[in-house]
Amino acid sequence: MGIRPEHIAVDPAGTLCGGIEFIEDTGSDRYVHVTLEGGERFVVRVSPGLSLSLGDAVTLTVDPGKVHIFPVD
Amino acid sequence: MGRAIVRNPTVFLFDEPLSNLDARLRTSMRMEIARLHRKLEATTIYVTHDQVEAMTLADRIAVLHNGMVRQVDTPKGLYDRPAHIMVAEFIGSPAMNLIRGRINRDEDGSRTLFQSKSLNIAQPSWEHARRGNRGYSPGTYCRRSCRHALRRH
Repeated sequence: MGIRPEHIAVDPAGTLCGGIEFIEDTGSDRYVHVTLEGGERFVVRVSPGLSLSLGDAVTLTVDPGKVHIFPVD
Repeated sequence: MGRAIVRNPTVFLFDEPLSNLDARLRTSMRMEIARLHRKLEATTIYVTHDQVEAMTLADRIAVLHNGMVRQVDTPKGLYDRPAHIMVAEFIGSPAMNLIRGRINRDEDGSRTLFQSKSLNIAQPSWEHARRGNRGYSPGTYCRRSCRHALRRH
């Protein structure tokens, strides 16, 4: 499945738990690289105002309507 | 470009015209080409590796990969409904997150689930998935890496 970084949110009520591995600040945008408990890795676009640091535990919400499914066979 | 314009052609073919320019000049030339295109109203075929140029200049984009046309669509169509995993990865920055998993039906069969180690995402159906070039069937295993799949096609 595919989900764009802008369709995932850092959300205290989220059900996906992970840790922040890397943060990219471009000025206007902030991209947070999160590794989930199962090992999957996500890049998440967050607001530059959000206070997050390397190593923080975060919970994420994925917008199910924005999920794309692709066959791999 | 000037030499081509004075001959008043009905079709322009641009082959990576901005690839040697620095980022700032590239942006201003992009605007210039868009303006010329509107003014001259000539069909323009524009070849580029730069997804921003493609997305901002085109009415319609054909995404080519390994000699195959993967999708022909409007810029918004490519972004919202990529028909192929390669298009999904290529359009958008940073790239779309791709996670391998399995498609299942939930117990009463009313919803479709995507499941991986950490993820369990339910949808009534994956309608947009069926718009792809090839269908999927519930229970399809995603055995091999995306890279491998791309090499094969």
